[in-house]
Amino acid sequence: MTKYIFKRILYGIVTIFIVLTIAFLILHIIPGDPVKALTGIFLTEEAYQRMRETFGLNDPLMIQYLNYIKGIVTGHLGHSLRQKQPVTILLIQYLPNTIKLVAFTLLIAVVSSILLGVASYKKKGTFIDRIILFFTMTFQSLPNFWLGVIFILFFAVELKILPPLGSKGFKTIIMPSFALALGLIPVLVRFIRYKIGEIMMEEFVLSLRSRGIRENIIIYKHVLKNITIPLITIISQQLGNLLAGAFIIERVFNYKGIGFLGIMAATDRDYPLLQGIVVFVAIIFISINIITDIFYTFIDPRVKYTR
Amino acid sequence: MVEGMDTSKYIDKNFKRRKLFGPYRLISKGLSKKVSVLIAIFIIAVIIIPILFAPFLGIQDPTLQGLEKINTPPFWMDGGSREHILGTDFLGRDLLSRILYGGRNSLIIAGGALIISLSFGTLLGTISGHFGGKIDTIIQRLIELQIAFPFIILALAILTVFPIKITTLIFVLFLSTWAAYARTFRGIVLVETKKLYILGAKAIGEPEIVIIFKYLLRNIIPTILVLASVDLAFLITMEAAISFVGLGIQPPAPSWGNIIGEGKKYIDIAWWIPTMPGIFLILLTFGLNLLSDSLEK
Amino acid sequence: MKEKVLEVSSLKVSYKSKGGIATAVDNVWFSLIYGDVLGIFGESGCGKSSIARAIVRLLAPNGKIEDGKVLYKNDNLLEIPEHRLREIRGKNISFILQNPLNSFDPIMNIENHFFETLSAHFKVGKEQARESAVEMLRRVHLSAPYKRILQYPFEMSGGMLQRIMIALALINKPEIIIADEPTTALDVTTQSGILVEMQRLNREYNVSFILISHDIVVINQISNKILVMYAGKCIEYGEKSHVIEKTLHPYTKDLIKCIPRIDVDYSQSRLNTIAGQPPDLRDLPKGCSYNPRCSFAKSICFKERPLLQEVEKDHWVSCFLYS
Repeated sequence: MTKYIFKRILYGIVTIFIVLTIAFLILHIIPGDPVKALTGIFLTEEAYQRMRETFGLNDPLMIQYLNYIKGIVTGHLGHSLRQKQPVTILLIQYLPNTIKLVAFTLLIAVVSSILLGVASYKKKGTFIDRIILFFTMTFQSLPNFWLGVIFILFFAVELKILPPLGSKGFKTIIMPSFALALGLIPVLVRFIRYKIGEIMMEEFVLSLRSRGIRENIIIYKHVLKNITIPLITIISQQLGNLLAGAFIIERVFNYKGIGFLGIMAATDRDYPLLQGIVVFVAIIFISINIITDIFYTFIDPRVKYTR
Repeated sequence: MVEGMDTSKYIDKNFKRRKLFGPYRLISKGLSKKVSVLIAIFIIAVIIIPILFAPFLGIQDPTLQGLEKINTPPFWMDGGSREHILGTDFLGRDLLSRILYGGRNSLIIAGGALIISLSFGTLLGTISGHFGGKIDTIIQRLIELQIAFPFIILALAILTVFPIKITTLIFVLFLSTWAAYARTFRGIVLVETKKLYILGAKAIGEPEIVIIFKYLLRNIIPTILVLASVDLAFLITMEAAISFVGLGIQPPAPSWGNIIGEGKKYIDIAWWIPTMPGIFLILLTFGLNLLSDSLEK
Repeated sequence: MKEKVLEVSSLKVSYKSKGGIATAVDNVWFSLIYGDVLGIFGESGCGKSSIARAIVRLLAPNGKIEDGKVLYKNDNLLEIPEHRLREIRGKNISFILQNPLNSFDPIMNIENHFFETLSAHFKVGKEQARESAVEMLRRVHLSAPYKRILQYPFEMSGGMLQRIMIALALINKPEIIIADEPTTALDVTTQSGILVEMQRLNREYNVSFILISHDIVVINQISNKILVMYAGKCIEYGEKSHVIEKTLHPYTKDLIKCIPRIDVDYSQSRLNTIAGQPPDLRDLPKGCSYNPRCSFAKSICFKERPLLQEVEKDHWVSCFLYS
């Protein structure tokens, strides 16, 4: 078993390296000159050479690569061309907002999915069930950036109860979170509904019923507790989509998180910043994958007590 | 000579995940296959035909500005006129024609990506399934990597570095979707070719891989249609998202994404600008998914 | 007390499935006096579990109680409202299920199982519940009860868990315990221990049992009344001594012959079996359901179904040999 964990971590590190290398290669086969692109041609030869030196652009590719890797490991991710700040500092500044956004989105998504999933199960096959399914799935098919725009139209412009943009204050997080959550909720609702159905068929539920335990207690206490782990698994599978969505949504609402920073870096052609973000996100993402994998192998044999 | 095979069971899970049993499934379940397909085709046609024939319809030039009539509303509202059915945007350009031409651009890019993706993915999947061994392992790893990774990051990197042209966009979109085709066809090849070895004896002279290819082509069109419809919807949406953030089709050339993106600023005084393109997008997506679902039955 | 605690009459249960409708319980009746141990015996799929589930209305979703009355004291359990039935379940009538390994919530410890079962019917504090649990575990002879109650189900063996199941079934002092194949999932030694336990509880606390099993030896060990099921119908019913020693129905006779005996040398002879298979409940033969396998079958057995008749006092059989 430890062998498996070891293999998994190794595999993950290799994947991270591959992704980092690809990121490096992409950003260094730039046609054209990053310095010139940013500062224009109004630069003395001296200043130009100095800038190239600072950014290490004169060193052979291999040296640049090694410095890059070294930098990542030590936390030095380069210097943003446009923001004139170290990339690491920028990441630290913008990251908390994204974390808040993702956390709140997960909160909304999990709570509503559980409520909707339980309701859907209880009223299996009836009109309410079908309405729940219909609406959740409809929202999922909508492009999320457009949905965000509609939210702004409705809540900010028409009703004027929420701010249309920004990242200061609690109100600014509401619309972006809902826009993101609406993509996650249908997946979770369907899963929860299915899993509840599955668990209710298990023998211990019959045992509970035979002891006179009320149906509601069975559902809310026992079944939901037993769902927690599979739910966590499926959420971590969806994290990738969630992250991708966050990039776009943050742009829609001018919400200053990592996604916003990333899009800005891309539009500004701020290579170091973008590279830093790609590296950072890749590492986080792959690490989460590995941790979930390992976590899952730990949990599974324990919960299943058949020897 | 060769019985048809049911290829629907090989359809990669990722397509199913993308479609995700939307409202189209509830509809297609309720109706017979033929009716669903017809409805789907009707919806798609309503959107696509005007788009494809836009230049011949005599509608207005999408880039023609009219500063005296900026931000006029659609014809059913106060201040609107039949001259501009969906109103005008912030530079006085007719919104409907921008949407139609934008649809054209989006379709070209998404369609191009689709064709390349399909060809490449099919080829790769077939090779992977047929030759097996190390090649198969490598290709499979690549497939896994592509599917698991949040694609947006890679897309950003590429679009930052390379100049934004149609070819770049097609390339980015292609990268986001080839793997599902590869996986599906790998599955098909792996299982179905076993059956073909029996027939192999009959096929004298032709190299194995050619037999496989011909056989697949004959039987795979339905599956391809199912996959491609969903994929097209996905790609059009992706293109819109990329254009929305400004990394796709550049204004003044229209795209559903960038009309929404640019129009967002004017949402308080001209809400129709960002809203209308979205409606077209939704309808087309809906129609394509319904088509895919109906064909699958 | 010669008072009846449970009286089941005309019970009919059917299941809907892809192959048709299966009548799992066809017009079964029996009664239970306080202190009785009724052994319901039959091969797999003969409907005996369905009887148990039907009594407390816990059938599978595709099952339906078509007819019958289940009189518990003065209430017909098949007709009382759900909330009243819930009060009775776990308090007056308890269940012990077949597979102890699957009968517990995997992520809840034993103590909480007890607390939950108790508080479903009474107001109890956690301390009180713990003490009651420990007391009950001692009574079912489970070692180290204070340690066990803090453990989780996966940490214990089948035998221990079955004892805990019995303790859970007893904790609210029920009048009837329905045990559905309680020993099937256990090894022979543990099985014996559990049966002895049930016997003791029956004698000391006057708890009535309905014991369901496909193992005639188990039934024989502790029942005082036996009901033999075949293809959904009761074919023999009566006091144990009558049924075992003065067996009437051909099926019961054949079954008893199949029991391996300790005084027979099986290297010289073979174990007895009954030729054939029990019928598919969706497609029963015409006439008496046992006719394909019965060595005494007459022509009437293929045309009509025999009814239960009292051949001697407290001994009923449905067979044309006796009518």
